[in-house]
Amino acid sequence: MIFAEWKPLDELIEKLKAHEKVLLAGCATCVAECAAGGEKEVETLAPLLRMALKKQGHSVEIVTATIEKQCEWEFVEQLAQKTARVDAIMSTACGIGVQALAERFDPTPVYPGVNTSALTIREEAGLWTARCAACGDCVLGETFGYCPVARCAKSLLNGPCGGTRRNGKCEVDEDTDCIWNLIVERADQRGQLESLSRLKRAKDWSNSRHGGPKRVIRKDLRQ
Amino acid sequence: MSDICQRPDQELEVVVLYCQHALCEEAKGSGWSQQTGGLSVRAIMMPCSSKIEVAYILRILESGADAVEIVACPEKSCKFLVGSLRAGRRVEYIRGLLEKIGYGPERVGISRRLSQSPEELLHVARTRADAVRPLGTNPMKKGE
Repeated sequence: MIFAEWKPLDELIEKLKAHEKVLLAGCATCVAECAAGGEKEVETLAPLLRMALKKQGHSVEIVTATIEKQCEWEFVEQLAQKTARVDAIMSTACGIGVQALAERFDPTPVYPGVNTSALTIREEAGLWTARCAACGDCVLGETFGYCPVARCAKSLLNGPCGGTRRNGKCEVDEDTDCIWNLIVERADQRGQLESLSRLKRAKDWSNSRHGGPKRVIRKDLRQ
Repeated sequence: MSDICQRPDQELEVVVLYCQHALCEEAKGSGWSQQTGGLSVRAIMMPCSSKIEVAYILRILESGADAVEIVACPEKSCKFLVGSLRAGRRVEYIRGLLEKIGYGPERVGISRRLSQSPEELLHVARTRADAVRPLGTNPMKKGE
C-alpha cells in the first residue's frame, strides 16, 4: 500500500487558519490501511484541528467526507457537492489524491494533510515496512524475492555492504534486517548461492523517477 | 476529597467512560450524570475500554467537556485480554496529540479498577477535575 503519515499539526493549522470553511477529505484505501487518512483518521483529525484553531483564535468551520478512492475520478466526483460550499480542501490522501482534487476542484486550494513516503506492507498492528520503491525495473527475480532497492539503506544491487551487523541487521537501524543478508541466506537455502556472483547488466533507472514524469499509454484500453 | 465546591465560578465537566466490568454488579447501568459542588460528571458505560476510540474522546473534548477519564479493568483482569492495554495506549496517544495543540495532556486520563461503586467513579472524576483545574475550562466550551 501507499504509506503516508500526518503532517505536523502546526503545519496543518498554518494552512487552514486563513480560511472560513474547509473540507477535510479522507480516502478509504491505502491511507486508511496505514491509519493516516481514512474515515477514522479524518474523524480524529477534524476535532483536533477545530480545537487547535479555536484555541488560537481562528474561526474555521471544518466539515468532513471520506470517499473510497481519491485516485479515481468517478469517486472524486462524489465530493463535488461538499466542495461547492467550502473555500479550501485538506486531503488526507496520498499525493495522487491531493492532485486529483486540486485538478477537479480548481480554483479551490487543496492542501495535503499527510506526507506520502513509501510503498509498504503492514507487518503487524502498528508496524509497516517499505517493500517496493517503484523503480521501474524489478530485480526481485534475481534477488530471491527481497527488494534491495527499497529495503537496503543504500539500495545496493551488489550487497551486502561492510556494515551488516553480526546479528544480520543493518548498520543504519538495529531493528531493520540487512536485506542482502536475507538474500544470501535464501540463495544458500535454495542451493543457488552461485547465482549471486554472476555479473549483471547495469540496472535501467530510466523507467523510474529518474526518467522524468511517467506517462503510460495502453492502446488496447483506450477508447 | 477535592475542594472543587469552593470554586463555583469554574464548574468543570468531566466525562467518565467506564468499562462495564469495572463497575460493581449492583451499580451497572448504561450511564448516569450528576452535578455536585461545581463538578458536572457524566458517566457512560462501555462494553470494554478498548471500544473507546481516539475520535470519541476528541469529540467529547470538542463538545466542551473539560476532561475525560477512562475507567478500565486492571490489565490482567480484562475479559477481552488486551482491551485495557489498548485503551491505555490510546490514552497515551491522545495525550500526546493534546500536548501538541496546547490543550494539556491532563485533560485525558485512565485509571484501572474493578468493582467500582458510583461514588468511587465520582471520586475518580474529581481527581481528574483537580488535574485539569490549573488549565482552566476547555476553550471549546460554548461562550468561551
